Amino acid sequence: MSRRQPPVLRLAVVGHTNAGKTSLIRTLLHRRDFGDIGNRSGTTRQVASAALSVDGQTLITLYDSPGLEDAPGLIDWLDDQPGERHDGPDRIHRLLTDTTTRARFDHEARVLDLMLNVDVALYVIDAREPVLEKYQDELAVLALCARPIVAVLNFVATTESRATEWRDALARAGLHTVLAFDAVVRDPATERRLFEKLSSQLDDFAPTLEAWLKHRRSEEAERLAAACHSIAELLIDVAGAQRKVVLDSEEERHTAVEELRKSVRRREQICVETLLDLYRFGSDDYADDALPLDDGRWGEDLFDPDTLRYHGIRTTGHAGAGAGAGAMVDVATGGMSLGAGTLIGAALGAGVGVARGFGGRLIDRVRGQARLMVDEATLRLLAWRQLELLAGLRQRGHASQRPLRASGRKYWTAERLPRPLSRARHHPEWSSLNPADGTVQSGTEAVARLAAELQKTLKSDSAADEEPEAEK
Amino acid sequence: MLSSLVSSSRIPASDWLLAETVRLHEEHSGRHRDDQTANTLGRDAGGGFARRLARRAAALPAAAAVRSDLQRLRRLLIRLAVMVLVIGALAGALAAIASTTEREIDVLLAAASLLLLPSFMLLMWATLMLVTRPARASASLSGGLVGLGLRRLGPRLLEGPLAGETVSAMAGLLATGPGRWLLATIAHAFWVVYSLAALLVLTILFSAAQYDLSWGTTLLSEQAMVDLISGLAWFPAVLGLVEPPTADWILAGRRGVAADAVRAEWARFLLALVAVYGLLPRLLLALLSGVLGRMGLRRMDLDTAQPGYLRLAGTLLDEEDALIHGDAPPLAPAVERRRQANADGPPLLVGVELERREWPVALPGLAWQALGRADSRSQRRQLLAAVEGFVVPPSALIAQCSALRTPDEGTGRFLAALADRADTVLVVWLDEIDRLASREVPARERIADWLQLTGRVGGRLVVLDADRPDSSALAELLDLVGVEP
Repeated sequence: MSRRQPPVLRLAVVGHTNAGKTSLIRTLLHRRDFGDIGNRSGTTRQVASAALSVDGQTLITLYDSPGLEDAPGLIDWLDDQPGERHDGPDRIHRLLTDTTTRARFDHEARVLDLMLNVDVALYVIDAREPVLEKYQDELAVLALCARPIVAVLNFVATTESRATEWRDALARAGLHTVLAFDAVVRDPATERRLFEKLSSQLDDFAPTLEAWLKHRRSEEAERLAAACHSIAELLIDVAGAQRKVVLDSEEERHTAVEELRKSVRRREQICVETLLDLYRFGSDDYADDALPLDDGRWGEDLFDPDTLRYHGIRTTGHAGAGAGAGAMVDVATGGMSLGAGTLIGAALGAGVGVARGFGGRLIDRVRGQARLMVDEATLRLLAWRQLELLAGLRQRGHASQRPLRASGRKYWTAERLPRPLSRARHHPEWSSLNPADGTVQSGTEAVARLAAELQKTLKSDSAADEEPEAEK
Repeated sequence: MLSSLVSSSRIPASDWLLAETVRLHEEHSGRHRDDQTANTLGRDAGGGFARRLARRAAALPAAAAVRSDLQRLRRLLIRLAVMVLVIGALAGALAAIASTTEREIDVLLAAASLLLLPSFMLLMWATLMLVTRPARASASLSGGLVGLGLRRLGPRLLEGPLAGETVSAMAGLLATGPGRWLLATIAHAFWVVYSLAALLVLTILFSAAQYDLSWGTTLLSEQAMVDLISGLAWFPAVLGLVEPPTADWILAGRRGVAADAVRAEWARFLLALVAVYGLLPRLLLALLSGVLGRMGLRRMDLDTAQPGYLRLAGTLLDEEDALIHGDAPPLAPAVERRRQANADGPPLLVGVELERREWPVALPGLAWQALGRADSRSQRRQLLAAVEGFVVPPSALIAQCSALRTPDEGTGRFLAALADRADTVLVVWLDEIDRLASREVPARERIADWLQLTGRVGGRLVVLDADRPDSSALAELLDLVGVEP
């Protein structure tokens, strides 16, 4: 490439021990496996670095540092030193060249060494902590290194947050660039704001940060498109899923219903796993996230009528099991005797109905067969659930997750199913849930169309992400 | 990260097919979460995302079966192509025979019956290639036939567990750009064979039997026909296949006028027309499609934005481990503290960075001398001065610390210095442990950290929340401080 590479930004993450430095780096890297952290003191003992790169080109190098543990001791030592007091870096340099002091303040020396060699530092604060003097000492020592510092308030989403106190204290220390950034909250908007703040502090690195933001944006868009595609595939698969049953045999009917339900449940689980993978959500993330899942699965059963009601999906005609469902089946079977229809309906329960308007219906009827399909309400529920999960994944860890916009809900509770989906009802060959007869499915276009529609319903949400939230 | 790796996301067709087969399978049957070996191999393969995906797919247990299925499909594809070519040859021969049923042949009609259909199909192909996307149409009849045969026959021939997906992947390959060139090669080869067969049959017939070739018109003027024929003959003449025709020669071929001498020349003219307008363009296009298809198949573009691939980005694209700079710091040796023999004074109490405002909080059965709180440097200096020089040495030094604080070296050094000066045992009373729950920090871990720090400075740790004193912990504290219960 002939394009000139933007300069590499060296960024140190510093702060008191156990303030969440490594978590912040993990969030910026989108990697769960960086460093080895817990709620333990001094988990990071050495400086560790990782690169944020695009196209194999490093844009930003992140440095994780050991926690500052004895800033008051350092201040005492510095105060005791004779000589010039105004040149901060010079004083720090003297400290670092003194071998006994270096050995004594091992952690701090490593941090200060790092500070002198980076372009900017993020000072991470556990906002649940009171503004103790030792933290102010830390700021004073770091300020001596004469590097731009952006304060990052971690754990602000908790009830114990003392963010206001901290902002006040930071302002008194001359630090006005403050950002609330919960390290466990993975929110693209906050991440973006962090880099924008950095950009405002560092003119020289504006192209670097802009390139990185652009990269993250395109990555986010790619991920969202893939997620919508995945949900669309699930819906097309389930919409066209059919099982043939002989109307007379109750036992066979029962097995067919159960079999259909089972394969739909399994198919939904695959989609859930894909979504979790796409957003790099590991099993260890459940603890600090408010996703509507239990251990990677949906808690409530898809075919439980209560689940429909819980999600506010209209179930006209077959509000519950039994008579309602029977009524729907009567419509579906058309010419069949009312008695038989009601009987089947009662046996089927909720979530599954007899296919209507399908080409083979007439022949089936002559043979005394019917085709079972997943009903519309369940399809809506399926769509709605995955969209909720996707919305949750896109802004993880938020204490109060923004619910999906009403527009999206209206779309999925509307009178008619989206067109690609209603078409898929008549194309059982598109569904991978049907026993394969050797031919290759060709519903890819319907999947693409539906995915585009799904993305459109989510669009209002992502537009809201763009607006910078008012900072507290 | 992903879209930007486009330049390096091209892989050979065999890898592409394998990766697609695995993707289709995993998208519908779920991914085996325990394929760690394959993931590791994929990640270590390096290079672009597509290459890592292909490496991972190749390392999965099902890969061998898929590969042999792909070989079977390849053979099927070749067989289908051969079949199409045989049909082409037959069709060409039949067309040639059909146009020579009479001994008197109208040259223009014969040429039209042999060339109109191939030319029309060529036009169709070109139009479809230009206006449709690869995924929509194979752009040719014979190509479509091969694709259809593959879809229909493929699943019956395959034996692997992923047979259906393998066929889908192959069908997907035929719907990509290079795949379409591959089908185009077959389609053009069909017409090449068709034209060759027609030429062969005509040559044999013209050699072994006597035909009268002529032209005629009912409606048009003779001049128009002369222009038409010389127009048609221009290109073969440029190639040197026929002599440039003169108007006299053409007029001499008029039906009813034709002389015996020009019979062979007119036969050669008809053969040249078929060769130049039937065979030549198809031959060139077959070669071009073949080259383009071959080149394309060697560097297939894997659509890594597919959810089935993108979901693996987290696993396969993680970069090398973090770089560690510098050596691990040494750990300080622990010290041991003793109480002086005449230590009968009350224990001293200091509060270190406590959250509570009212201090000290009384504990039943324990009387102490509260020295003050250590929240700032000046307070610490005062405490360090105050702790020295007691006439009756204190029985213990109690440092009341908050479990909300993460133990740090600064606190440790202060506690050690304080205990050194007091010259007595150090008891670290870890208070405010009940408040820890709201921070979602496991108390066990926090206590372990404090235990470590206490050990380093030669003290003993007691966990006791002053708001809700636990009797056994209290007894332990009293014991450590040296108070008889």
